[in-house]
Amino acid sequence: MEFVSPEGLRIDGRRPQELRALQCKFGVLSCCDGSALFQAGNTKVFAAVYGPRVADIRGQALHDRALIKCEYAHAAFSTGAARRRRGRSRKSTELAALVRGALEQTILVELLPRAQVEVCIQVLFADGGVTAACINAAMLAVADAGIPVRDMVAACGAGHLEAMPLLDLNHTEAATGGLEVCVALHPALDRVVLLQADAKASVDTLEAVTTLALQGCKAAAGAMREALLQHVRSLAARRGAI
Amino acid sequence: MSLAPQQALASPVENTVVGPGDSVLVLPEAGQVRVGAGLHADGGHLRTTRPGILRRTKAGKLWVQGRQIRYIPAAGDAVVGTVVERHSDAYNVDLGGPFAAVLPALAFEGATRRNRPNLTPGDLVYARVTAASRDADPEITCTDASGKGAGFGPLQEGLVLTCSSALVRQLLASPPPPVVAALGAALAFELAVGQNGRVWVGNADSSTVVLVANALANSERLSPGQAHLMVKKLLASVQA
Amino acid sequence: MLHSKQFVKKTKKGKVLKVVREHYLRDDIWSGSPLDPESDPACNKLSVDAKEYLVVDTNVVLQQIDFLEHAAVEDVIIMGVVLEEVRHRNTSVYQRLRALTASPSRRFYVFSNEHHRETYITTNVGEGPNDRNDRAIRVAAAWYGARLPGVRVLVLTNDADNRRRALESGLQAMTVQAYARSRTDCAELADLVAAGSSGEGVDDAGAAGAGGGGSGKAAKRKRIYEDHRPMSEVTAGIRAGRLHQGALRVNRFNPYEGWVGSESVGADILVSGRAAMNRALDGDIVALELLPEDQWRGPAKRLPGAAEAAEAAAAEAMDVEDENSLEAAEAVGDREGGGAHLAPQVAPGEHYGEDAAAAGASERRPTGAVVGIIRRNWRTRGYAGSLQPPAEGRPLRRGAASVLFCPVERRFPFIRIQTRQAETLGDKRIVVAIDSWEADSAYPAGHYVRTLGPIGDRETETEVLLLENDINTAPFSPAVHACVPPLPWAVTPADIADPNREDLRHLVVCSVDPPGCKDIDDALHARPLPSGNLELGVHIADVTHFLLPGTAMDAEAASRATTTYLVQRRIDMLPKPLTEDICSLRSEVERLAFSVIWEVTPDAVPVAVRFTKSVIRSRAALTYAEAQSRLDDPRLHDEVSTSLRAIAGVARILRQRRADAGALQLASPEVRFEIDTETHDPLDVGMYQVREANQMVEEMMLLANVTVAEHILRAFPACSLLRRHPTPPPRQFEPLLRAAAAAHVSIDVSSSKALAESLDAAVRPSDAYFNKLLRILATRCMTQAAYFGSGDVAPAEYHHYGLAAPLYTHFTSPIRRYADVIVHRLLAAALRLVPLPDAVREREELHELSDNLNARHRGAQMAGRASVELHTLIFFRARDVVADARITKVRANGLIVFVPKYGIEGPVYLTERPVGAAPANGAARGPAHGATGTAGSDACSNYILDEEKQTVTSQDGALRFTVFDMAAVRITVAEAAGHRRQLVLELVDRALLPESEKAAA
Repeated sequence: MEFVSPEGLRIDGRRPQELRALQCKFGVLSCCDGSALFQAGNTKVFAAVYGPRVADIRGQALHDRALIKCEYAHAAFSTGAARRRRGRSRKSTELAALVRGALEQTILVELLPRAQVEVCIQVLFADGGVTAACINAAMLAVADAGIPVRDMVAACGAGHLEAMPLLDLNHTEAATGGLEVCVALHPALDRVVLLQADAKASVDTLEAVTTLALQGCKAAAGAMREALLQHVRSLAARRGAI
Repeated sequence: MSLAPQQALASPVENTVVGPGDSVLVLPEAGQVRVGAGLHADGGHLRTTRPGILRRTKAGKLWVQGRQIRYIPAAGDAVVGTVVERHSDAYNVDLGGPFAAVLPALAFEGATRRNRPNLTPGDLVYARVTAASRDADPEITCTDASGKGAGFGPLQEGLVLTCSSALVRQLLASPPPPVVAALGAALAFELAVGQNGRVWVGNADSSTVVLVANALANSERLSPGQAHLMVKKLLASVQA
Repeated sequence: MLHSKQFVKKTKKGKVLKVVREHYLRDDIWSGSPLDPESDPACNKLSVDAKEYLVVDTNVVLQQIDFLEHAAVEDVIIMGVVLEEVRHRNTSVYQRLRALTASPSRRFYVFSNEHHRETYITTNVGEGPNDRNDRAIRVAAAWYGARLPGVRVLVLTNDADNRRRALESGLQAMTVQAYARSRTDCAELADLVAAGSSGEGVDDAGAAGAGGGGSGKAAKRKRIYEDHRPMSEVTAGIRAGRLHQGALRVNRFNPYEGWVGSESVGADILVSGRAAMNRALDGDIVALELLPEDQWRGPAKRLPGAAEAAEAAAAEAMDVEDENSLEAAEAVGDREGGGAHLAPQVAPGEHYGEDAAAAGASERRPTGAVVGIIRRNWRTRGYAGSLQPPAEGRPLRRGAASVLFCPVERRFPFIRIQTRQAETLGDKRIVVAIDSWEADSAYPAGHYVRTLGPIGDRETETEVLLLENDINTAPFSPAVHACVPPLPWAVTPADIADPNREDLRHLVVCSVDPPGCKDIDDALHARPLPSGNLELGVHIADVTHFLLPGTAMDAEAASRATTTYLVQRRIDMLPKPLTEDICSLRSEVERLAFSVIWEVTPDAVPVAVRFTKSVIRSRAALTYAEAQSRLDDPRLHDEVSTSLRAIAGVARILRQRRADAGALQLASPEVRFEIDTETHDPLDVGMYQVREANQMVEEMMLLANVTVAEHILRAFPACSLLRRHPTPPPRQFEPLLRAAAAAHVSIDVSSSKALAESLDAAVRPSDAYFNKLLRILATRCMTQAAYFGSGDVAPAEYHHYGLAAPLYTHFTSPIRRYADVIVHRLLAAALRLVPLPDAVREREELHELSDNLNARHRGAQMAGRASVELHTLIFFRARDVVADARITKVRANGLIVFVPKYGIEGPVYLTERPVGAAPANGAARGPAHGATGTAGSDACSNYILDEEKQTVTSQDGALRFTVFDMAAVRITVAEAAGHRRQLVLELVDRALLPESEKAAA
């Protein structure tokens, strides 16, 4: 299977350094404090944020900062084959931990001691770049809830196929088992929050792919910010506040 | 107009939409900058912590007006709360914030050890926040500074409506918003607006209460003209 | 803009998956023509002044790739949808198409119409995928027409419906044949156009001509072969066990007999006769049905020897109708059988006149008939051969003629082609590709690809053997030459200062190679140590210092995999400056090397070994003869001679030790040619002489290879590249055992040691050559040695039977073998000098790599042997020689004899070869029994074969031939049909042999 044709097109028609089409929606669920739906290509992730509120398990509350809890689930119809849900698996625990780690660095947890912020992520369709989409969706939901954050966090994945770094792999490209890196970035502070990779690679390859992923993060951050501001603007306009 | 993320200005542009993490102002070496909610100082920059509209109060305080569901208690706010627990000398009242507030049992007008209001969990109170530190549970009281009731105290019957802080601000603005004026012109009811996003409508028969609650809920996004129309329609449907 | 593609597919496990894919449409796909102002100049490929731009559809690419490859076809637009379809349907055509699109001189442009916003179309309701793709091509062609109003855009398609719709929508369209005919500037284009199969829309213009006549006649044509069963029935049958699947191996000497190795039956299944082979070719994967047991037979016991001339004449005489008679065709002969080409050196495991599987040929074997072909493996590069000469008295037709082409490789059948150049091509070697084989045609249909040159000309015949063995002779591309450091090159101080490189310039190193050898890859040294032990060193050219992974030169070397040695020419794996100068360990210059240095006791027991990269300076580059004379002359005491003597001493002990462990000393009849420097014709041919110097070098190389194998396996147990020689199964020894038994010699084949000892003991005092002959027969029983990855095979199978070594690899010739390059990289990785090469990390990649190495190695060997055959033929062309011969096999109608002096083996017919026994016409139209029948009965009546005693006696008892008997033959070159020149051996009276010719031991 040829992943990048000699004409420079990938199987879905993108060029190697192009992101998929991004879409963001806010306020999707009304019963929670903040929610967002993030879509990168066909990968659709929904995130809901509850909090800050009292920790449900008193013992877990931290005296000087907020407790961030993260839960990850994927729908049974999220991949091509109907899959029986198996509840918690190692993969879902790992993904939840990654998102939590990214959020802990983003949310100003010192401002909310003894409180709990709970983020619930549900993957509706997984077509590659799921980790990045989860982080982005969680970020958007947190922004929608108005929870104080240090900066936005934007995540993007990149991989290495046919001796070329490719940005934002979809499922077919990722399934080859080559190097795939997920990077999350604070764009304004220019700080890398998360770097995760799962394959053997040489150092130069890793560097090239990570650099590309960081550029992707910046582009994704721009798109997310635009969507967020558009949402605020439309809300404000409806209220007549602006 | 909105700020690009890396653009740090010597003087912030007000009434513009900002995203979280935007640098609003480069903090000067000396001098004072008054900041309110939604901003925090980080490494020489003043950054926003949530998306919203950058505003400056009449007093010169910079803050970010955002949409927030959760109420963060601030001293002096008037709030409508629900009693959740009863202890020997205090009640725990849920304000819709991160933590439940503490209402001393004697913090009512004219309350003594023998004669104090008997509140059960589920009762509503209209109270004033006296202390709200981030490290401790907030404290509220049903009296004003001098010990008088001044409208605070338990609320009987009626309906509590949850709404956004923006609507609350509208309702608390003076003069009262067109919706309230229109309703008030046609109906008789009582309204208690809590800055924690809870509005209590009461002291009228159930249909009036429901109508008022619906009207208020719908009015958040309407312009004055639309608000009038809506009220008129509602009244017409009731009377019909 | 974003579209979504959804489809449902089934995985191998049977799960059903729904696949949803995004499909982006772009604005930045250009038309590729400089005439288009918006097109990006960087990707413009089409020319400014072309008469027309051609747009081709998928079937045209798949069937007419040879036509497209012709240099006169230019400015072709390949649509993305066509490229995708070709990729899925035929990988080799896809590679060729990609080569065309990548080459800057052939103006082929790939237009990604599927991703272009304006040319993307969605499938209409009820439109099948083929129709949709055709419509996509038309839409894109129309877009081109609109964008480039000044140029004619022509759609080439053989599909009548597509053409009609194209014309309706205002495009210009033509069939390929019509286009080729319209190109009057290049007449040969019309020949390259392959005949469309009758299923496709037949060329309307051709309907009036032969093609139309053909299609009209096709209805009348009789079905000669059974139809192939549909794929679904075949797969069901295989799963149910009624049918069996395997690859067909056609007997090299009898093209109507083949074997299919099947796991479901356990043994190889015999397929005998044209009807049973049912249009399957050598290499195809076929589905077989077993015949009932009473129809099982054994392979032919006779030398296939019917009249070629008869068949050729008959074939020409046959019209289209007559060709239909399968019986007639078969009766005309198992066309030239074994009498033709001689095989001086058959591959191990291949016995002259029969396949290894046919050992024990007398019993009946499971026999079957082909009912379906699962995968065709027709060569896309074509088959080399020549046209069947016309019968006398029948002039060649003018214009397009339908002629028969006979390939040089006799495993393949004749091919029928249409050509206008029948006259000019009559005496040339040409290349033809097969297009199809319908059930109503006795021969497959094909088309002409190109001419190689006149028959018999040495260069042409060399081209033929290179094509047949798939040897790449293209010159190295500039990218490859760019990887070579510029000359003059010398070792730099930086190389010497490199901490990983030892400075061994003080060692007395010398090399021993055949005369005229310029690519010296190995050098030796030996010197005594103070402890009384000997330091022994083997230094191999450090090729991997220059050949780095991932470069163009490395890719090219990996694909070629080995240097091919022909008699007069050498086709290099690496560019000449590297092989003959920079890497070659020439004398009196400093060179980089990879060294293996042992410390051995005086008893040649290694006590220590170390590996290191080094810098050496060879003191002398000797030939075997020179080295031998230095060894023999006790008066020479210079350092080189003393060193050589020490090495020879160690080598002697090692060789004895190996023989004790069971290493086999086999003999192969290698011949050496003396070539005239001017005409390059062979002046003399003789057996290769093996001296002690040869054995010394061989022993040292073996030691180095074994030591390196051990070291890399210890470092990388799962991904080393090794070489093994599996023990031959007992039944493979049967021909040797039978022959030995008939000669009253007992051979024990229970182990290599037993075999070696019995071969040593099998001596006839009266006959000095007997032992050598027996060893030659033993060589034929061996299996093939092969490269493999250590993770692919169980450690018990790593051994090398022939060398009696538990581990072996190739390390000592990186200049001419890519396997050695890989082993150098592995050893360097084991020494932590470089990271482990990517090529060996994945087991599957290593497996593919070793498969390629094995295939290319075999191809190079076969090419080398074919070149020797060719030169033997040229040598004997003008001569008439009588030589000593030995009988190696007996058959009912003839003998197989071996001529030691020239290393030739071939058949000698005892009966009169039935040339002209069946008259041409009679055989063509006569009833089933034909020439073969009569010849058989004649032969059988004259001679009686005794298989046990391996003797054939004439009916009157006067003549008697036993295996290993001495005989004499006259060697001449005869020309037969199809311009095949063959060596012909005739038995003559031994008395005619001059004394000097009698072969000594």
